[in-house]
Amino acid sequence: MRLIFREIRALPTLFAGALAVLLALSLVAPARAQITFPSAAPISAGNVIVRTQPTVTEYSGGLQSFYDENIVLYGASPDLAFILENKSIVTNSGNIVSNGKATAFTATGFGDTVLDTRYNLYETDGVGSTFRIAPYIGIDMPTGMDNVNAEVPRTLQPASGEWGTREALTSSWQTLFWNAQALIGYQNYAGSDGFQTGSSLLADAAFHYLIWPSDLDREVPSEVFASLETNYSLSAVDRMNGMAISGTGGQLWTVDPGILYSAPTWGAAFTALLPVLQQYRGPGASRYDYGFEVTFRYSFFTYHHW
Amino acid sequence: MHGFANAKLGLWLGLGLMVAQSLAGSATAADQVPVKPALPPGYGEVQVVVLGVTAPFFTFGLVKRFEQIPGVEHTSFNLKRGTADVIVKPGATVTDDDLRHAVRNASYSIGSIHWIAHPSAKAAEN
Repeated sequence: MRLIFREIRALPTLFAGALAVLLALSLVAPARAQITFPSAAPISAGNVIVRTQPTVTEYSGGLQSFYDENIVLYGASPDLAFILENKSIVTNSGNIVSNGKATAFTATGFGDTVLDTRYNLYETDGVGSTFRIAPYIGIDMPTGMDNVNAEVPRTLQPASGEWGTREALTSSWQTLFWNAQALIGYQNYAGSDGFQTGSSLLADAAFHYLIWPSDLDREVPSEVFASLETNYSLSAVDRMNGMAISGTGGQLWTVDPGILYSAPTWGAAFTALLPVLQQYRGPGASRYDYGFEVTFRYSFFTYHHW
Repeated sequence: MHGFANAKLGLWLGLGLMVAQSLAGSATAADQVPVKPALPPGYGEVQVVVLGVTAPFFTFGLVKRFEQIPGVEHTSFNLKRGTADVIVKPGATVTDDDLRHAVRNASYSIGSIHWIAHPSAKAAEN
């Protein structure tokens, strides 16, 4: 599923933080790049696509985040798909400065899980082209570890501990030589233990251009695409016991060039995540420097579907 | 942590080799003049125009759906023409409805169905 949609959300989810702890530790939750939403691209009934997507992001102040997100897409019917996303491992590392003394920290553990449902609302197909619109609805489930290292603020724990919902409308226009996609979405969190991640509005777009092969008048075994994506998010400030946490919320806009190899049963991609605009609400934010994401996916078939 | 990094490096090197091997194999195939083998006696062939298929990745589910139909031996797909070439075993009964159903289950639309040769029941007995 090379056309899996990319979304970057600004952020607060795992990295916003408890105000008192943040003040004491002089470390504020960083903006976070995350690519999750699949596009409106077709998926056959009974088709299962498994993706693993390790992502590394660097922030100002030496903070580094790594996570490996595993995604399983299942075509339940020609129009209905379920998407299960789980961060199998999340590692946040850096230095905590407390009373003028820097202490290295690492917080590693399981991340949260999201279950999405996608329905193919509109479809118009031609020879070598298709335009589709599909709404999404999903649930964020707090399945991960939100307290693996007691020395680390909750915002830097591997998981958020919050339930949440997300809704999105995606569209994709695919041809033999290029694909264009767009998404607008909204994420909301229920809060946990007095902490609440700010809700986010998401707007993404992507363009993929075929660079190999040039001859499609045969049985094509694989393709290589150049990709350029852009991800924007506008987020409300995070809160602890109702009080706004400085340096959270705001907006993040990234541009993400990449390259994608795609064969019928497997594919791989490399994408750089480059920030263009970062504005956070209040001082103290760890600024997003850059990120890299690699993706490997495998597709197989079951004959079980609705 | 070092071992983990080495393991990941090895994984991606392996993936790179798979890509290189796949590209090399494809280039060799592209250099050759495609010669369509003659249909064995008794086999049927049907060409189905499928709308909405844009890349090899999306042919996977479609081909699997065709090959799920009892009696279908093999399916290949031409992206530019949007045509699935479906080979049917001798004696098999594959209907247009079976083909339409397979296309829709793959989340695509049917364009047209053109039987080039119907399978022969007699050949199946040989």
